[in-house]
Amino acid sequence: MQINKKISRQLQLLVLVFLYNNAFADTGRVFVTNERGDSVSVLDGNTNQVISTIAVGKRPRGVGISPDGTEVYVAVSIDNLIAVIDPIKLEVIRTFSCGDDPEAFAVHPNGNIYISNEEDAIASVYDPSNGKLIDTIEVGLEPEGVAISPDGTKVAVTSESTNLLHIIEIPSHNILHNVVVGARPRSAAFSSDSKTVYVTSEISGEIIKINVDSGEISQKVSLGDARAKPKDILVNKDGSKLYVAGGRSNKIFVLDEKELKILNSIPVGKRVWGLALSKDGTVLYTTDGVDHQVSVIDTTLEEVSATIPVGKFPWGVAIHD
Amino acid sequence: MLKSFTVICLMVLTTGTALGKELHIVFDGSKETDAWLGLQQGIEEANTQGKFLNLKYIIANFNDLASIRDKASTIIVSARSALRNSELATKYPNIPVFAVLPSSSAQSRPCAKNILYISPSSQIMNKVTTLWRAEHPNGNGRAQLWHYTFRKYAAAQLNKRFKKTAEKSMSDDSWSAWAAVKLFSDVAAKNANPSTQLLNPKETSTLAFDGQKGVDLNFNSELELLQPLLIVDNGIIVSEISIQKINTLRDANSNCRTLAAKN
Repeated sequence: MQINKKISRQLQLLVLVFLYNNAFADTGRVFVTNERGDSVSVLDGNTNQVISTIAVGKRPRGVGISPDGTEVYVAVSIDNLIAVIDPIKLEVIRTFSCGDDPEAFAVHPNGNIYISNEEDAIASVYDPSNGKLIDTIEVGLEPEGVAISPDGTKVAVTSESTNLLHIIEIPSHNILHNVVVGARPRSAAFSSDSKTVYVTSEISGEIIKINVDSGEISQKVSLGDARAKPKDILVNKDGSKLYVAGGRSNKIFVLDEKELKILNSIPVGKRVWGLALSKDGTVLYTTDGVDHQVSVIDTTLEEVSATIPVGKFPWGVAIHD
Repeated sequence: MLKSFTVICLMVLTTGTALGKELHIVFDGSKETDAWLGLQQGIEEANTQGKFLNLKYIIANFNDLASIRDKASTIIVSARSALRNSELATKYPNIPVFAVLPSSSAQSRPCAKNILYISPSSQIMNKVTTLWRAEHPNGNGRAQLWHYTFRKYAAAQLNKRFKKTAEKSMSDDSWSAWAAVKLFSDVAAKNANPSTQLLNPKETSTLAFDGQKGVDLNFNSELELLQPLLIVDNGIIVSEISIQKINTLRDANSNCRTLAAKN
């Protein structure tokens, strides 16, 4: 009798897990913010076609997905809000205010959003389920890039105009290190073990590798191309390579993680800024702002496999996978 | 014992050591000018950075210079004439003097190892204007360092910040003075002796200064900040002139170039 009850409970749990997974199944859709199109283009990751364009408000930039995959968040900079999109129905289901001029953000594994508020020189923390402000953290001028360590214990925020990377502890939100980096740091990304953070400096054209515990720069490299104004940076699936959006060089730079040596550069469209890597690490999406397109890169071949026209000046990109 | 401790604490407080390192900026010019407003904006922003790095930027008077022990962390921002810049450079040879107003020509500029020119000469500005007008016969555009409608490269954010504090639009002179302080704070964030660094041509020629103009800026051998210029026609930015193009208009025989070659 007791065994039957136990089996019954396990079955119930299995059904719940099945229902949950099917209700919030990953769609493989790609969400692209169009900075001057005031919209989000939704791409089908399998067919590389635009399946929907969602009006979200003025100047959408940062985009991210909730840990359970049920919501897509978009920072709408001029409207000072986060628009929440249902990734299945493809419509805005609610919005909430999030301080002045939200630009980039990162979603913590616990669901909270860490946002850079460019004009206020703060990073703010919101609970997107109710739009409540949890905390604000004073940072340098023009904060932009936000990255959360995979273990959820740190958030890195770049201050573009003060040339600083702030490494901040979670949940205390105390600043652990202020690291002086190259001119106009724009984006950051953590290694999978959360021990290293990588930063791009747009004006100095550098990639900087920082030890998270000590706050010391362990390596840095210049991209060596006057037009290379690096923006987004990502670590590949096995942690051996870095992908860097080269801005006006119209290239994606592939760097060896250990030595920061440039291994390859992949030509894409004009003014490439945004990057998103599929969960399996095989596909890299780039936003090519001036060409109003997204490039799809096969990471095995390190070649562009498709280009997809989207809205005006695509900025951010996130994959629902 | 307790008495000594109290005295030490008081000394720490009065000298400001506990508050971080102090860096001094001496302004030579009228406080009724745009340059003064730009300088204040620069100092406010430098202190925003400084609070994370334990650095404090202070406006000092010439009278204070003798008592400032750390000359390696002091600059002069001059919004005066070329002659006055020359006097300052001679009197304070170990302090960088940032000249923020345009001189009439590169030839008329005093040449000194410690005068850093933020603004190109009026002669260069005129040459850029003439060149643009030759290519656009119907236009009345004029070369400027900055414009309050400039939006690219986060210029919009700087314009907005300036207008909020100064209650007026950012002009060439205010950008120039802002840039002098920003440059100083950029160098100070990375070096214990920023003024010494700024007197080193190797340092000034390899800076990657972010003047919110979209490219990394540094100084040429004549210690002039190389920077793109804007062409503004009837209140609208109609063109951006690159550093490379401006360099083709430079006079090869300026006094400072000759001095730089000799050195």
